[in-house]
Order: sequence, then C-alpha cells, then structure tokens
Amino acid sequence: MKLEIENLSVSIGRTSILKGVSLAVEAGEFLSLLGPSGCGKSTLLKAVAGLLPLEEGRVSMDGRDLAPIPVHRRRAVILFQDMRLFPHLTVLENVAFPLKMQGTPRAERNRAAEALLERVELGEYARRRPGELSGGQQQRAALARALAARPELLMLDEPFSALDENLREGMRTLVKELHRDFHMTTVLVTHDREEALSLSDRVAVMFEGRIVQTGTPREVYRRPAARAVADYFGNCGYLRGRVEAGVFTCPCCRCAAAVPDGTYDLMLRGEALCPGAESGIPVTVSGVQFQGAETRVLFAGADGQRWSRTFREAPPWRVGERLTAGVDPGEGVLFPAEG
Amino acid sequence: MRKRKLTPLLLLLPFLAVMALLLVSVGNILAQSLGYIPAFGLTEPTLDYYGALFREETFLDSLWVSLRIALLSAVFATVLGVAVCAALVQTGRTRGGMLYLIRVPILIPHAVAAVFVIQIASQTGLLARLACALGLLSDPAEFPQLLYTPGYGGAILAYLWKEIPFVAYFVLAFMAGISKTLGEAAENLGASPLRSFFQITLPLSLPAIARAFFIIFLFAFGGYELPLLLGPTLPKALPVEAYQLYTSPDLLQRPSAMAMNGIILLFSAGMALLYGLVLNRLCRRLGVAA
Repeated sequence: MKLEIENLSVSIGRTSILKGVSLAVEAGEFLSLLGPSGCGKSTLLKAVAGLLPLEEGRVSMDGRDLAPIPVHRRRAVILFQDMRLFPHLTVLENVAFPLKMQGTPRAERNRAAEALLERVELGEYARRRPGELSGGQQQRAALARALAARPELLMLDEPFSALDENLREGMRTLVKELHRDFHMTTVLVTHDREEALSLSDRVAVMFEGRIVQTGTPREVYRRPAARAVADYFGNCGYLRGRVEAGVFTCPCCRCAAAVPDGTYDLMLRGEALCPGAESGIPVTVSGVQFQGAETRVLFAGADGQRWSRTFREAPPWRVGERLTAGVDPGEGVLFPAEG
Repeated sequence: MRKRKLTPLLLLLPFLAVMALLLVSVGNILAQSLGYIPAFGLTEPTLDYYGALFREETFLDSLWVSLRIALLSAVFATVLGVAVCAALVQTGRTRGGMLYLIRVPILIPHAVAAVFVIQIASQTGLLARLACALGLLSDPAEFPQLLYTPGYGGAILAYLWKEIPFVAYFVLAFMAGISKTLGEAAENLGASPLRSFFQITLPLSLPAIARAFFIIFLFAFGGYELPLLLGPTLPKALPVEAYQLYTSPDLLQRPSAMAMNGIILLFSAGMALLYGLVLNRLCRRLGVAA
C-alpha cells in the first residue's frame, strides 16, 4: 500500500501544527519520521489515521482519497506511545479485539491472537490483564494487537521511548522482523537519530511542522539538505571558506565545489577527520570514552567545533593533547555562510 | 521547626471542628433514638423504639416511599445522564457553552425546582395548557395527575430535572478522558464509534457512573424538600415523617423521631459501605485504579 500525503496542514485550536507537509511512502517501505519533540510528528500520524481533521491537503492510500473514509475503516493503525491497552480485557482479548470488530468468529480470532502473542513471545501471558505486564511486555502486546488489525499502514509513535535500553534493542529487532514478515508499509515516529538511521529504508526529517529532507539514512546523515538537519544528527563542525570559480578554499583545505561564488561553511562530520595527520586543522583531545568494543574520542576545534570519532583500538592520545587532523573535504557539505 | 510541625495541624482545625460537630450530632441522634434523653427523664437505653417503628404501617410505608423515590430517580437519572454525557463526548462538546447550560439545574435549589415542576407539570401547568391548546386534550384537567400522588411522580420529576445534569457533569471529564485515549485506540483498531463506546468507553466509565448513582440515590433517600412540596399528605417520605414527629408537641415522640433518623443514618452508612465494596470490586474487575 502506497501512502501519499500532499500539502497537508493541520491546526489544533489556533495553533498551526503541520504546515504544508508532503510525503510519499512506498508500498512495504519502512520510513522513519525523525524530529525533535513537538515538531508535529505524532500529529501527522493522527491526521493520517483520521483522528484529527485536516485543514488543507490530501491523504491517500494507493491513490484512494482517505477523506471520506471513517477512522475505523482506514486500516491505518497507530501503535501509540502510551500503548492504550484496554485494562478491562485480558491480553488475549486485547489482541483479538480488532478481529472481533471485523466479525471474525470467536474460535478463529482467539487462535489468530494466540499465534500473534506467540510471535511476540507473550504466549504464556494471554490470560493476564495488561496491568500485570511489565512495560516491555505491554509494548509487545500492543504491537501484536496492532498487527491483528491487519493494517495496510502501521504507524509506530515513539514505541521504544519508554523502554530500558536493553529492552529497546530487542523491541527494535522484533519490529524489523515483523515488518519483514508482514510486508506492511510502516512509518516510525522517533526523535532517536540512531534508531531512525538503523531501522529505516528512508528517513524524513521534520522541524516545526515541515518536512525538511527525505532520503535514505545515508543521504540524510552524510548529505544533509539544511544546517538544521546536519546539526540534528550532531557530531558536525563547520569550516569557513570561500568558493571561487568552482573551488572551495579554507585555511586548511581545498576542494571542488559546484556552487556559485561566495562565502560558505563546509560541514564536516567527525568521520571526515583523520587525527594525527601531517597537515589539516588543529584539534584538541577533549575526552576519551571507553565504550567496551570501541573507544570514542572527543575533539574540540579551534573555533569551538565539537567532533567525535570512534576507534576500534584505543588511540594513544591523552585529554588536552593537541593534534593535527587531516580533513577529507569530499565527505563535507557546503552551506552558505551565516552570521 | 516546631512551628512548621504545628502548621498542618492548625490548617486542619476548621475541618476537625466541622467533623467534631457532625460526630457529636450523630452520637446525639443515636443516643436519643435509643431512648436516652435525661432531660425528659429517659435514662434507660433500649431498642424498643426501633422495634416499634418496624411494627408501624405508617413508618413502613414511609420507608418504602423514600426507597422508591430514591431508586427510581437515581436509576432514571443515571441512565439519562449517561446518555447526555455520551452525546456530549461523541460530539466533542466537553467544554464551553454547553457545560454552563448543564450546570444551571445543578446550581438551582431544590425548592425552586419544585416550583418549576408545579408550573410545568401540574394539571393547570404549562404542559397541560399546551396540550390543550394543541388540541391533544379537550380540557387541561385531563392531563395526568403527577403531583401530590402517592406515586411521588412530581418529586421524581424534580429530582430528574436536577440529577440528569448532575450525572452528565459528574461523569463527563472521566468519560471524555477514556474516550480520547482508549476509545480513540479502539476506533483506530477498527471499532465503529458506537462499538467503541459500548465496548470500551462505557465499561471503563462505570466507576464514575457508580459514584454518581450512589451520591444521587442517597441524596434522594434523605431528601426532605421535594417530597414535602410535591408529595401527597400520606404516605409521607421518611425524612418528612421524621421531621414532623420531631416537631410534635408530644416530647415523648422524640426517641421515635430519632429512631427514624437513626434508620436513615444506618441505611446511608450501610450503602456507603456497600458503595466502597462494589466500587473496589468493579475497579478490580476493570483493571483500573479505584
């Protein structure tokens, strides 16, 4: 099922939340909607599900306009951040609920619900009430219930944010496996950059009610379309320089640039730095963090830039040590200079 | 430091004073109902006054009348109040103008409500005259007699006028909260608005509905003005009977009057206990906090 959102605007009360959002999600695709809290991600999901009225724009699934279709017939299911399991029903009844609404006979829907609960490893909890489950188990039960609705579009609203780090990893793997098994078009709302990058086929980055960039995880990370996107992923610093006749020049590097002449900032990620080189930019080691399999080293640039890089082998540098870091300008992105 | 410890106690004083007054009055009622009134020369506590009441037909009629008024008004007010509440929640009118309108009958005193009912539902009232003007009745006197009848139709009507909005208002915030979260989730999972209401929102709103029911039931059971103003001479509602006996010139009737109050009190306390038990069980069954 292909989801298309065209020029969508939504207001809550007098506050405009979504401002002309356009987005297409291909059939079977896993897309992450990434952005800071309050940027309108959850509102977008609710608008697609029909839980909020549209002010302007159009939402369609496989070319079919959703406007005349009521919420309960859209098959666009949200896995809510707060789970919303029905406390008066058992876990099994919760998972069987969507099937009951579709008119599936009791025996059949219970069998299907049991199979789904087995799939999310909650088989033995079927007769319990949601209140008797841990947070992680509740999240899995809610996921099983969402799948029971046989959605054409599954929308996950920050489903992992309330979980411990170790549970989160298990849940991410489960979601990814289920996406692969069920081939559903899936939209994941998150503010966790790593989550978005590691799970998705594509990432849409959203700020203040607008989608700023949509692309593969690699594209949005390495080729950010705006400074806001670059800054949101972090671990980036800027080198000021000039472009003349297709060549960007700054005090420590030169590279080809297909932009008009002018003053630019070259955005570099930590990975583009090669500390310990003969020439490049001066950096100071501001921290060394042992992280188990890797060691993360923090660097401070001369103009207040902050970078970090991880190394498999712990490097010999100490905090406060001054180094020269080689720069790979091919890894950088030019933005017109600000300020 | 010491001052800091004392402050909460000082702030509690007004509440404690009111509670003390209440407890003293309750103790006084129970003592007098047992025939202990030293001022009248009655010093031997006895259960005879209670026993005598249960042998008296007037008292049993009064008890039945009060229970009937309380039960009918509470059941109808709860059903209709929940229906009004559901309509407000489903249409999203959970704030603003409509709520002010609903609050009006709650704020109007019972005695005024009685006057309204007389104006509207008596055989010379607005409804009777309207029905006559529309040709539905040939004479206003053909309008069914609701007021001053042993069925206490007028008092029940007046209670409904006040209590339907009370139930709607009391349950509204709770039901709106459930509907906005779990009801919304149910619709998102394929339940029509009607099924979402009956399978999710309504069952989960039962604790608030039960609370409203008990409050209005006990209020109507102990209510005095409406049965007095809209009821017949006989049988009297229990509070009316108790008050008239209390103000009787024969002071030796006082223990019987107090025994009636004692019965209202004990019945209400029993209902409060039952309410606690029922609510706890209900909340446990629904898997929600009490």
